[in-house]
Amino acid sequence: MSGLPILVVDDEEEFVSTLVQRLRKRGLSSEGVLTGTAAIAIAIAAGSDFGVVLLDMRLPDMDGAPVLQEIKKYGPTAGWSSSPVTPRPAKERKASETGLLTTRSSPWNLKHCWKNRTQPEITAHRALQLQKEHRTTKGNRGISLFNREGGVQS
Amino acid sequence: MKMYTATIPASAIKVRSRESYYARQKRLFVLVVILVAIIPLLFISWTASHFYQKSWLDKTTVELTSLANSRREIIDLFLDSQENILAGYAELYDFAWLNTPGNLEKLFKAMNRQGVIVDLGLIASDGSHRNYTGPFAEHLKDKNYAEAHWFAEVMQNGKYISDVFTGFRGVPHFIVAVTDPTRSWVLRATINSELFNSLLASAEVGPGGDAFILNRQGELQTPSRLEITALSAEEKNILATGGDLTIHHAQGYLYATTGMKSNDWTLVLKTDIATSLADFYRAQKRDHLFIACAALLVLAVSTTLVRSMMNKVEGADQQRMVLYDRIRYSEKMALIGRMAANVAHEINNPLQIIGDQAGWLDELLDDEDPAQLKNSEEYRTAFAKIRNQVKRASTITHRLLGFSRSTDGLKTKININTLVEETVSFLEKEATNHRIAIRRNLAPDLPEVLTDTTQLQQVFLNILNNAFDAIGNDGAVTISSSVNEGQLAVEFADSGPGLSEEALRRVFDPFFTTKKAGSGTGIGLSISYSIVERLGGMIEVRNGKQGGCIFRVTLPVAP
Repeated sequence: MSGLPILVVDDEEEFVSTLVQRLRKRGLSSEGVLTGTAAIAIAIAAGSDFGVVLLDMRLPDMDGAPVLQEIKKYGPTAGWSSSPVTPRPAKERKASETGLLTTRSSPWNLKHCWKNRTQPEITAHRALQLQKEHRTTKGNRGISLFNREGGVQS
Repeated sequence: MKMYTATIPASAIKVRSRESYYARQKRLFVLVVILVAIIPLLFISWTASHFYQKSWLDKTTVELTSLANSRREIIDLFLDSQENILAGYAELYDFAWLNTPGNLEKLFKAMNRQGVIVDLGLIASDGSHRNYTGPFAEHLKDKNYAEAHWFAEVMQNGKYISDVFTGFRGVPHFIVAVTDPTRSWVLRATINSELFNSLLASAEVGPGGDAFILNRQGELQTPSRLEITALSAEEKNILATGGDLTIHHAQGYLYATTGMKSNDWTLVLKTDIATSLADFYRAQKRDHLFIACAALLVLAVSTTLVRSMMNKVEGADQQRMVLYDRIRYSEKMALIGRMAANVAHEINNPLQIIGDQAGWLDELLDDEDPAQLKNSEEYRTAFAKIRNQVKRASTITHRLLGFSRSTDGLKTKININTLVEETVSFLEKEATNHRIAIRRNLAPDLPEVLTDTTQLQQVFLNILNNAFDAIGNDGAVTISSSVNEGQLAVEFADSGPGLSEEALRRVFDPFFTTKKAGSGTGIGLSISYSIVERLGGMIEVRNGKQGGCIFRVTLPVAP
């Protein structure tokens, strides 16, 4: 997992900056943006090198799901979300259809969640995506999406 | 037994107020119906009674008038006949013939075929009694009437009828005297007044009635049936003598008075109104009894109808108020749900950042040289405490989110008994620790319900946890299930102390708790209420007859 770039998208600046710092301290390449537009822009600029997007599903400029769908066009990406409230089952199902790997309710513990849930899930998902990528010349390269509306546990 | 759903406490006051209102309305309607129905009845009764009494009195008056007229005519006819007979003989025979011994006796016998004449006398113009035939010859043969009032009057008027008197004859009688055409002598007859008595006695004036004849001075000329010997002063004032027939109404009596044509006597017929109207009064009593029965019937029917009607109205109003309360409560819970979601959102974000910052600082400590950092362990302890408090706070906010959780999760058909058993299995260890027996009284072969299993299980857990808290140690919880008319019910009866009236009313209110401060948030049952309501069911609470508290969850059977 190390080296997998992570994009943190959330409108809470302190949350973004702290999480980026903590991820980087773990040796992960990570960037943080505060809006969906900025997330898409950075994904385009980076050539979708982000393997994981940690996404707030309620961004100021747009919803998290379209952001994830747009980013996945530029590379294999897995999505995580964290949410201040427990998502409704129907909404959670719909979000998973957009490639959202999982959702965590805030507040979550990064240290605990990364070790027990996020890292294994992303690894498995990325392996599956790489297999698909290997079989096809075209398609999504991205795997994980990591969004604040379903968050990882810090 | 009172059953409480999620009624609002203030509604209890309103219920009392409504009860008072309905009681007032019942009384008012009953009063109106009574007034409308009974007053006309009483008015008709009074009017009819008054009319019939007057009619009856008029009839009695007419009868009395007729009787007075007929009796007066008879008496007048008798007096006239006696006077005419005497006058005829006085014209037919001369003094000498009448004074001849034996002739007057022959004449007496011819006149007295009816036996009403006591004696017959011939008196000369000087007042001397010249001839006499009758039983009192010894007393009267030397009598001289020259100074007698009646003699002077008969000599002046040619005829005279005296008042009734007893005299030395010892029997009531009166005299009729006439003169010859030249008024030189007088023929006098003594008439037994018993004939009058029999005529008056046969007058039908009813029990308590009377019939008598008065002279000009108001003295009785015939005996009274009521054995009075003289009129009272008041009667004398009322009963004017002489004149035409007059009706008087006084002292509870009806009087008919009429003057005789033959002399100055006055015939008086007197009837007791109460006695005369006895038949009427009996009929009136029957009418009053009938009216009273009818009034009672109207009263009973109107009261029953009004009560029945008002009970139906009250029932409908109460149903409406219950529905209104439930809608209002649902709206309140929905508002709380929206507020809870917003509050949770606004609080969870800062909690996330606080936790992150604590975690970040904790991680930074890893880079520090423990030898250079005197309080590193204190820092780590403090960070751990911060994370714990964040977790504690987040537990509360997630509970709050129970208010806004919808039931758009997958509903599945389940057997409620299975869900009960599964829920109980979570709590068996805790029950054992607190020596609480969990008894099942589950009906077999229950139909399935279509519901959100997870949320319904949360409801059961909330109820059982509350039951455990209420019992403390050493007790029992009995779980029963049943089905009736398409509704499946699960009851949880604990052996705890039960709830106060206020707690029963408020138990489903958000943040209401009977637990010690810090032991309960007071939202578990509120959330349970919201969940059950969203699942199309109902949750109720009541105190058991044997103590303890009973929660009843009702759900519709799956179609």
